[in-house]
Amino acid sequence: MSAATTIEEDRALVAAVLGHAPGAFERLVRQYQGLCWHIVQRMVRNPEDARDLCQETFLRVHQCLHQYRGERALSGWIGQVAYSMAKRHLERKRVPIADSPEDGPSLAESVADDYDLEASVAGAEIDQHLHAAIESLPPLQRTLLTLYHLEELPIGEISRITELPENTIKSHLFRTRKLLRDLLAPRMGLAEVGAAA
Amino acid sequence: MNAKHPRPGTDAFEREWQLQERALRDERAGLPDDPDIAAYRRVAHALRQPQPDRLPSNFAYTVAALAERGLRAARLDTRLEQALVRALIAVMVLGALVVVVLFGRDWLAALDAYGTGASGWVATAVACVALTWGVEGLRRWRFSR
Repeated sequence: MSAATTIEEDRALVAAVLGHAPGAFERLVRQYQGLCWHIVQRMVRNPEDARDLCQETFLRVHQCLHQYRGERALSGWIGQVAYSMAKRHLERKRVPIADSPEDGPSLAESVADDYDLEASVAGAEIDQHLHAAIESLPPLQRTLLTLYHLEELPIGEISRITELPENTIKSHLFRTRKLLRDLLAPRMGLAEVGAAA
Repeated sequence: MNAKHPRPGTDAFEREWQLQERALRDERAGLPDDPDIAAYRRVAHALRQPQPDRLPSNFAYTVAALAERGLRAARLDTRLEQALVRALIAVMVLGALVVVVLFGRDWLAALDAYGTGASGWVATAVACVALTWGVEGLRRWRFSR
């Protein structure tokens, strides 16, 4: 996983790319293409668009790599480029990126409209429907969950990638995880939590 | 604010947040299921499933080749641009020399009409400027090698 690389390794890799060492940029792409794909695919969902945007992301990275100052992880820097490319793509297509964390019901409605988790049967189908519920979340919420849970990036790093305040990210994570939990709870014989909060 | 979503900073928010985080930590550590956070644990498990990477197997190679091609094209553009600028400067210098050769005598005569030695002072000033530019150009040329 990219998070395991140290700043020193990142700096060395960047120096190799800037020094035109053979195969260095290909190594960089291979190292971070998973992260890029997770961000872009979670944002835009369409696989063809996601592939094109990943390519554009790395070409942009190649063009601007001299601007990387080596003060933070390269993964965060590349993630920021990938996120902004995907965001611009969605803005061009006029796709809403997020529900505000302060808007209560709309997030739940966006999932519930697409499908009824409670109607599903137990076991593997719950997981399948849970994945479908995750897929039906707005792009920003999907991406934040992926960066936090799958890429295991700290909230501070996600904040730098998305240029959102840490509290906003925490609020998005909280609401989305609670929504998914509340969709699951009745099927698992559990009560909803926080209804009285 | 929806009553279902406690406000950040409140006790209710923090309590629920801690449950979510415990489920995440337990899932990462592969700890046994805790019934108190079973649903959050299931959510955390689903969120940790990697999405199938649909990038082609030669993606890194292709992108690196594209980047290298772009770089070569940019270098070529820069070299062409520099060559054109140098050619332009050479043409201008040559033009200036031709003008000086053709009209220089007339200019000197016109300058001497203002008083004895006027043309000498102008020639000295021109020589100073030429010397400064020349030294600076020589320094840059040596530095670039």
